[in-house]
Amino acid sequence: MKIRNSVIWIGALFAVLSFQPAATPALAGMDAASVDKCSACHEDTVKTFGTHGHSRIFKGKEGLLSCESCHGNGEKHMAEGDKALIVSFGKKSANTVDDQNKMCLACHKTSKDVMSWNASHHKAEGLRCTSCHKVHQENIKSVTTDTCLSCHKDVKMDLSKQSHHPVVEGRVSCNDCHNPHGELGRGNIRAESVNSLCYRCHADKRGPFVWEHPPAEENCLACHNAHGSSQRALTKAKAPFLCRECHTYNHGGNGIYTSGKGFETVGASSEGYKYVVGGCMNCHSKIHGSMAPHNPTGSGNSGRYFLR
Amino acid sequence: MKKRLIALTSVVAALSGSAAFAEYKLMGMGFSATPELGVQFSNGVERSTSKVTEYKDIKTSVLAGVDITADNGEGYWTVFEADRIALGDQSYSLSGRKVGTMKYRLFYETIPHNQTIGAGMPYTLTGASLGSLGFAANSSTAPGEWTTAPAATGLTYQNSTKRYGLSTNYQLLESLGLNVAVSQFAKAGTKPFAINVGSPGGATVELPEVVDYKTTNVSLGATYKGDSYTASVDGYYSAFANANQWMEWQNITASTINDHLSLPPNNTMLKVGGNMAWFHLPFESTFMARVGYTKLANKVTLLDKMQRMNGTGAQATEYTMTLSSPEFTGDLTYGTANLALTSEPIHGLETKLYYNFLRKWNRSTAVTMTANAVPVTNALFWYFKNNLGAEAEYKLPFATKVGASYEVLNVNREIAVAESTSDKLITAELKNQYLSFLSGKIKYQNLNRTWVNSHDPGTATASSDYLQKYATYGNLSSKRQNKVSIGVDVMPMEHLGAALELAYQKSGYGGDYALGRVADMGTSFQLDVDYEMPKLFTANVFVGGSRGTADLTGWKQNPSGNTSYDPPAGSTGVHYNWRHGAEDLAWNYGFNVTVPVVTNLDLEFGYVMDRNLTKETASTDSAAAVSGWVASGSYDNYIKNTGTVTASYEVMKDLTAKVGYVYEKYDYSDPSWTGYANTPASKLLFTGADNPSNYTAHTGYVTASYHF
Repeated sequence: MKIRNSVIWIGALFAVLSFQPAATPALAGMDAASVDKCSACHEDTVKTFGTHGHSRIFKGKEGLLSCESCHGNGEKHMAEGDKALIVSFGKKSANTVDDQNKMCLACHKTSKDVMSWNASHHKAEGLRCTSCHKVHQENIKSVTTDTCLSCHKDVKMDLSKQSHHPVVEGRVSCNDCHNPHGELGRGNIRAESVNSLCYRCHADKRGPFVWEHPPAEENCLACHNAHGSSQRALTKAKAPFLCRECHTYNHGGNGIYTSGKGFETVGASSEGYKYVVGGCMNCHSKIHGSMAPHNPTGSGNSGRYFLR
Repeated sequence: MKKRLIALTSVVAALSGSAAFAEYKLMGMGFSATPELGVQFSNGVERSTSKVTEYKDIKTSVLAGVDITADNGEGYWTVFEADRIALGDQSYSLSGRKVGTMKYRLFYETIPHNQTIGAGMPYTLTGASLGSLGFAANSSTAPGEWTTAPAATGLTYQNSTKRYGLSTNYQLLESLGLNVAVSQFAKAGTKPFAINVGSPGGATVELPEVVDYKTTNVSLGATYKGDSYTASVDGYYSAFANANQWMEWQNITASTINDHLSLPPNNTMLKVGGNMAWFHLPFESTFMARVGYTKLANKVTLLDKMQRMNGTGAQATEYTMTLSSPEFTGDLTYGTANLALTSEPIHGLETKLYYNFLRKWNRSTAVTMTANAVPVTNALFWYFKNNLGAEAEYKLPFATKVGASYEVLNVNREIAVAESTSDKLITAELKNQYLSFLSGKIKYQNLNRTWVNSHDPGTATASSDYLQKYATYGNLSSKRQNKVSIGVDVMPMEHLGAALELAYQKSGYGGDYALGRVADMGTSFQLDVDYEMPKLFTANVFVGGSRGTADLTGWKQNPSGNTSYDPPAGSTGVHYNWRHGAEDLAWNYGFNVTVPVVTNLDLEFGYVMDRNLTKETASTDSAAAVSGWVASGSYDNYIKNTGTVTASYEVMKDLTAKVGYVYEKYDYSDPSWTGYANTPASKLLFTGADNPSNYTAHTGYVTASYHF
């Protein structure tokens, strides 16, 4: 089965290779000849372009990108050797952050991702495109989870906790949930609300349910830490403590949760089982919502209480 | 194993052979390829514990991957990538781009989720498959036959998500881009759940819940860039289908009537929205806006019969309820609007004004369920949120910036006890980057949340409702929070950099007397140091830690005593106040070093230690209640040590060999697992579905890759 997938993919590869689109239209104001001029002094930089998308565009073909497409006219710079005489990028550049970023946005302008850059937290923090993107680097995947975690160290710590999304395993990336170029909502998330974002993968939690659990419906983050937690299921606290933050006196007012009252070993008294393993979820397993009816004559199997 | 090795070798050889052949141009494309082939190995720990292999496939196996790039030299290229071919966490993608015209990505990947290995199954499952979990109510599947230790029957809780799809972007005009994407996520397997078979808090059984979901997604979008504005529209449609709407199973406390558990319902989600951004407005302003509309819908035929329960368990009868509607129509609508205006009214002053609106309308069916003339109707939960804020940052001399913001968030809900909350958030920030080798910032934040609880608890202390007077609802209650964070980056010399972050926050909830969460506190720090000795090594050392405390209060109402629901009055002997404190400690540290040992040989090694434990304290105002208490100890107490070594050797030009080894040791303890034992006599069938699994894993790989 898995081998068959490989064969299918090889077939798809050749199908795509057979597709030959029309020649690329010339991009205005770009001079491939300058590549040779620059490599005389910046040989290493030109070499490291390797297979990066930018290098493919200006691989010596007429009308495509050149060094001057991003760095501006280099005549004076070549004559005098002063870095300030061309557009340069990075912390030590003589150009302002906005001017550096404008060079990138000149081409990357029709992406919806960058529309809200001006409202983004990253812009407010003075980040440049080149703070994260290594435009000369050989590897096209220059922006990785590690790029984000190099600044967001608290998130790095959360992701290393025992209960986490598979980010460090490489199956989910920061970019799947967040738009680093800015969104108008909180946290640069790629959705109108937290729940709307979570529902993309966790579609089984969307409902609509007959019996809704309001905090779950209003905000997944009421109970979960999205980046990771020491408790199972990425919860902010361990059940039953998490549940007791709102359900302060259910079950007639439980006793304190210790090994002697409420935390006692299984079967020791009617107060048992509320601490063992899943805590409240040992019974209220449909905590995100239920479709089961409520039987007023025996609510031990009630959907209303998320038992069924 | 041998068969798989031969097959995979053939696939990779075919791929690389094609690529090599294509160096002479194939179909007008120039090719390069890097096939990689090797072996990964483990000490077999994945067969006995799930945690080590939770999201990855580490079993001993062939390891194969390949990257193939084809480029026509005129701005069109395509890249095929296959990683971990044929393993449980394999991925494939085919992406390509025609500069200034289009790009696409076709992908397929599997994400495993292993939850438990070696759990027990309290049912014999004769005549039924685990896939349907339809436990027939007959003697051959009568419960109670399973009485051995959970691990004996070896049930694995595992599911896997296959994600595949295609996304494309077209540049129709220089200023107009279109994007289309389709994808499907198919998730199948089982996951554990626990269910009460009598009154909650009593007999409990753990069972596998079948997972057979399919989510199909389609999205469309268009973006247009004008001279001074950018506009976009987008649409998203997603359909979730669950192959099983109900799980029918035999409750162990009754042998003839089947019990039912509701499973996630089918649903559809439709979302449309539009963005606008106007640039070059007066005062260097940019105005950005987004409006969105989302509809979430489904239609489900309801059950009108449920197995009856009494105080001790299920009865051998069903109870038929009268439903006002046999069908539930789910109809949730969300409307959103986000506006932001950024400006620089005077040189050095940057401002931002923003407004966010979110409203949920709930037009689902309100179903009245009546039994014994007692009607119950599901509440249709709705809410709306208004969020208005302003930020300003001003540049001062010496590369200093000072900033401040003020924000209001009002939320109204269909819940009497938390009818509305109003947040007022103030922040102040100071940043400095004057010194080339030192930058820093400090930020202060104050949150004041007020709360409207419109529920009237009355004045009778003999009524349980009187407790509502003191109940809080976590973040839905009044809250006061202060938070300070500090960040420092220092580069004292070339090739040496360090970053330090510190944070402290303290919160209080509710009024003078409150039940529930009443206070919490958190501190954290992270320190990262990078050092490079050119041509000798690069090193990163990090250490981080956090400490959080949470105080919870409760009231124990003894049902056999006189009624008194007045916690501030103190213990009555049979009723009492209690207080619980949790102190959560987490820290980690580690390092990573890369050494170019000799020409063509790079060595990388690292170590990470992750540690967590939560300590608890408990107190009460009743001496009688203390009798028999046993300290619970620290919970979620774990330590994970990970060591890695990787060597990469360029054997000859374009041929690279890699060897890697990972050592991982995980130890977990928690007193809440003390009572986690299969106790059939008490009808407590804890099957080991949630067993924490300590492990020591030795995994590694040897691969060779050749670049054509």
